[in-house]
Amino acid sequence: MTGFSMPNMPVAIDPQKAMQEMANWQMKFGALQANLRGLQDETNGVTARECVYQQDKVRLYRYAGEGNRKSPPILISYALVNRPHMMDIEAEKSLIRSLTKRGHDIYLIDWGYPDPADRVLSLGDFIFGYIDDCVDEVRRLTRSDAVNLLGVCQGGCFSLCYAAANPEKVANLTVMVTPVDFQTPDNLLTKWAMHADVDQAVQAFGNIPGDVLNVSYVSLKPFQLNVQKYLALLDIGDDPEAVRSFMRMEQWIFDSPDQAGACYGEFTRKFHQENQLVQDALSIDGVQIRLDRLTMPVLNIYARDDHLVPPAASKALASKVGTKDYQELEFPGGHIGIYVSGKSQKLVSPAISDWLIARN
Amino acid sequence: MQNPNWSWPFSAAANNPFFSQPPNPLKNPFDWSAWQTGGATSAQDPTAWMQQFFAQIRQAMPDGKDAATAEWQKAATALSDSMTTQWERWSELFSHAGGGAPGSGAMHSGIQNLLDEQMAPLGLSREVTRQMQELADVHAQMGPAIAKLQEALSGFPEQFQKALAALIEQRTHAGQPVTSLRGMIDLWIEAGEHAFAEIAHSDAFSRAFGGFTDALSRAKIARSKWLDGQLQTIGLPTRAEMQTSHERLQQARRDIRALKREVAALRALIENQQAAPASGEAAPAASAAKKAAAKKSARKATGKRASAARKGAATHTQQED
Repeated sequence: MTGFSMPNMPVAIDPQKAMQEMANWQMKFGALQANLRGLQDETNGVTARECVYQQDKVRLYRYAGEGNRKSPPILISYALVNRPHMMDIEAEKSLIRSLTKRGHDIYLIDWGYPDPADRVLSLGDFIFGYIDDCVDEVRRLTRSDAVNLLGVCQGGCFSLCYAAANPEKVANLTVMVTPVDFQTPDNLLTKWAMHADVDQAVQAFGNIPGDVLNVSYVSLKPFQLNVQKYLALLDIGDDPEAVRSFMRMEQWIFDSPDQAGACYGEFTRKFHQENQLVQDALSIDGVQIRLDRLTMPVLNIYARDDHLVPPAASKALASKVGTKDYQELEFPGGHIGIYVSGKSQKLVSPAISDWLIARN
Repeated sequence: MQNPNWSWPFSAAANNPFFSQPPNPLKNPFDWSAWQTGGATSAQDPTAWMQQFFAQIRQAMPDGKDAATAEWQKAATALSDSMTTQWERWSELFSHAGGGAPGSGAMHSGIQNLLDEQMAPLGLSREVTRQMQELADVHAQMGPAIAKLQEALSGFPEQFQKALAALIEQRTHAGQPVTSLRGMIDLWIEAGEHAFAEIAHSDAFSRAFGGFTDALSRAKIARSKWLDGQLQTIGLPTRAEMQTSHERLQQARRDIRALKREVAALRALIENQQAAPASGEAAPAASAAKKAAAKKSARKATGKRASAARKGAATHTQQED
């Protein structure tokens, strides 16, 4: 930015006010430092849970529904990117707690942290292996033939594939911020992935490091995510609880497991680069994935201001499903806000709960 | 050689303790490790080493007391002269390129010349030289890849200035001039994001980004190969070896899983069939289970076959054989 000069523009900044602003920042900065000191990581969410099944590094957790009301149980398939406790990050911002309060037993698949030996795990190993086993376990525990599956982001893609291949095991399907058409004009992640030899990257890295993904995600909005976000932290620097809340999110964002190499390569190539899912051209381990096999009721929740999964990428599902019972819900917020904002607790969890109860 | 760090593998090799054993090229002339550090007669003067080698062979042979032995000696001398001459030619080529054994300073400058002249490596150290050439080459390619990425981003300052001016103008027309430092920073962020998005969505950036990723991957693969070579010489497992083991193990797990599912489906089928005669009502259930098992079995088999084909599983190959 050397040589940059301000254009000839009217800026009416009062010097006195500017001095006051700077003094205020100094104070906030001092308070922020004090509030950051000694903060501990909180990694497992806030709602009580028990591990009911495990295989390799995968854990299936159960969050018991509250009260006497018996609402339908839900199995959540989270993405491989980041950790699932984002859905239970704080008591007042927990989608899981909000649903358990409505009487739903929640089952959550936690993929764990892959190590280099897991680099050979394929898409099929996750979808027809781990998810299928978790579905069977939930069916056994709930004594039901089919589960209510809820997929989140990439976990939503997995859920679509699983449900299309095993419609008899999925009673109702909810997907949240889930891309279906990966090549909408506003999909920056796909654009960046288009010209990379992903198989070569997997050969080079084995598992794709979580930090590499973090750099990519932060680079999508570099000014907002590297500057504005921390200025916002300064604004709340003198509020210990707000700082704590901010740091929970910060920790979640950068607590990124590595991506199992083979699965990452296959996902990037088939979903991003070749856009096979929306074209019904996807085959995983020889199983053809056709979205018109989604004959169960489908609820598709997307975020209006999502910069990672643009709404159009999610809404493409509407014309592809085989069910007539298809509904969409637009959330007025972003990719993360859909889980952790106050609005989410008021809009999203009641919508999911009501939709499911009406179909059980 | 745009990347100043490109030479690291050679300095690393030179500092590698496995390359600094006492040289004894005559102990085993085909042990290339003896060439790596070399003595005065081997690494720095390969022709002298070659002559010494054949001289030792000749000395080791019995004296020519009979015609047959004399013929053997004659043939050996001719062979040694011929090979020495050949070696001299090769050596000349290497000397032209810098010469020297892998890991030595002469080798380092030799590699630079080989790279500069794109000369194919020769002799006992051929494979090692080729590997180092590849390593140096992929590291050298990082420079242009980074340059292309920088070039794709080069329009940013201008775009940014335009975006900022447009936003200011917009605010002014709306009667909302910037009145605070924070307002100015927010505007700066908005303009920056706007300008970056213009570039980030462009095909040029996408291609440059892909090129950079590929260059990085190639460098990492070449480095892993080199490292594997080092690990192999000291008998430690390599990344490639681990990869093979993990793939075989995972394929075996997939096969076991598929078999378990088939057994479970068949067991359910048998149980339903056994239950069917006892109760007329069970018949439809048995029929449904039979269909489900057949469908599942067919799908799993298809998936398994495709998976095996994709992964080149040994079981599938054997069946086809």
